[in-house]
Amino acid sequence: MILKPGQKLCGEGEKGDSLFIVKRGLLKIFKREGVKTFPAGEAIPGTIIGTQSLFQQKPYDRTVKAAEETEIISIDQKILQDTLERFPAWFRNIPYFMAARLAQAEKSKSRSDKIRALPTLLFLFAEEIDRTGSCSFPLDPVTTDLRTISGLGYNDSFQLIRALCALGLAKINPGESVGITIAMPPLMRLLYKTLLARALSDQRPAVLLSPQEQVILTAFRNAAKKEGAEFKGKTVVTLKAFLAAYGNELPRIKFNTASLGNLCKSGFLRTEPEYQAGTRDSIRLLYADAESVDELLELNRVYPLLDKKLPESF
Amino acid sequence: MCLVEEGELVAVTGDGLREKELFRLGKGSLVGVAAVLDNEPNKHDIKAAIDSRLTIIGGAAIASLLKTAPIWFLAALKTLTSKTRLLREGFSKPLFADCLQSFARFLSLRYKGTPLSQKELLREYCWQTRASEDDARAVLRTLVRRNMIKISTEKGEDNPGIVIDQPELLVLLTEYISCTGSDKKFPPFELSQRECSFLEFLSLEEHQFTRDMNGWAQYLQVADPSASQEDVSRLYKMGIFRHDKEGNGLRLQGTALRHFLLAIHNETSISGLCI
Repeated sequence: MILKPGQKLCGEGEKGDSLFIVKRGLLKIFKREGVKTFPAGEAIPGTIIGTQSLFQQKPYDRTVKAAEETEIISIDQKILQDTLERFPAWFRNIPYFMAARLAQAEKSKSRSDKIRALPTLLFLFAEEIDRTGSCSFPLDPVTTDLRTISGLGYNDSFQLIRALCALGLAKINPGESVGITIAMPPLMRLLYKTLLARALSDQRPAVLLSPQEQVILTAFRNAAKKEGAEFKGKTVVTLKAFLAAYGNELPRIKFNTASLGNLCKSGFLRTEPEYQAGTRDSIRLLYADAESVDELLELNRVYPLLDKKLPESF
Repeated sequence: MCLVEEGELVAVTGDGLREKELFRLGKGSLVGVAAVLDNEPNKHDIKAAIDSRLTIIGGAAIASLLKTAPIWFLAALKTLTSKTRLLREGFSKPLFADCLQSFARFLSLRYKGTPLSQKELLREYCWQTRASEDDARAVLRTLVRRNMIKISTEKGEDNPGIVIDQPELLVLLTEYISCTGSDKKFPPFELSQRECSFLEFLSLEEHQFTRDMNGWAQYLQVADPSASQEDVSRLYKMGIFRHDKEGNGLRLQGTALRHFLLAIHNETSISGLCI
């Protein structure tokens, strides 16, 4: 087969069941990323195009066009079957096994790339929130920066963003210029810093709470919503209201003062008078920054999902 | 590699006491293909589930079979193997196209006006991108040579800090590399001497006037009597002017103007010619 300059050999996404070998000439390869198309290399004599289409009948994953007059050898299913017929039956599965193994490696790599790019995406979201002073902004600059810094392509970036949306962290705003609205803006920085601390330090970050600590903060939040008072920018609840809310969260389970002590030590919750081990009954009030408590609880809801749910999305 | 002639095999994982069955291999199945073709270690323990008869196929037997295969078939198998290997090797490698561009963009966003700890910054960047610390350090040295960052030892030789006078230069470097990487021209470096002098003259303008095209041409004629509406039109295409919201004329875009001038004044640093 002879291709003239500019003539297409195969188009990305087009159904295919043939393999092509470049015998003479030069081809340009392109990859679509969203609405843009990027150059993705060249095919010189000896290059093989479409192994997965021949062995797995998968659509072509790139668009390939002749840059000059190019001679192509095409291998279709009939030639493949005629070739395989020459081999013993046990051997015929080997190329299919190898093609399946490649497909599996491609899938794993794509999934790993997205998971690895998550911190950069959170970092960029946090930066964009700070820069624009808004929780809604266009996605294009973020995906461009994500491509520049981490190298993740537009299609993979969009899948990653959609996965975060599925966790309730954000919502995509469709339109001519696709945008995003972040549900809880401070959470992006908090998540990023937690992932960073987790990766670079041996110690578990204090923001990652134990189940008991989460229950205490949830009880505080519920009590604050019901009968909390504002004082000097903090939300204050009485010990009685707090214990009632705690009882609703964990009926018949004794209140653990050690966890309260940890929360006070980390500064997430304060008591009046100041908490001392074994002095629970002398506490009159509990107070905290209500927004920080909400962010902390949301962080602890989302953080485990990043490990469990996010990889399942890809 | 084994061919299951009769019976059934089972792949298991675990320590023998608490084994978990992964999958079964029936008559006609091949076991250990990757081990023969790629010298990969066997992934799972394989045991006979029932009485089974196997044929052992060595590498030599496969090699003699492949001798009779057409070249395209061998090349296709080789492509499948090398692509798989490259993908697997890629798990630990960075994805970005250019480490200098990636690091410059990261740094421009990360810098908030106070010195950054070099040690912490490198750890954070390498964690985000999978870049090796050696590569990141090499990029840091390049940025120092290009006068885009300074290393401060104010907090001691052991913990040098990074100081950036003009973070916008890092943004320009990112854009420049993006253009050169995709065979595009970097607009600020495509300006003629005359157009550069227009931009310098416009930067003297302190007030945000709105003028029509002819008005701006006359304004530029103060600097260069040959200035015409064509020149204004070209500056408009570059984003130096924009139509104002009321549609009464063209408004000078201070940010775009500063962006162009900063690039022009630092051409050698951005393009790397200063090294």
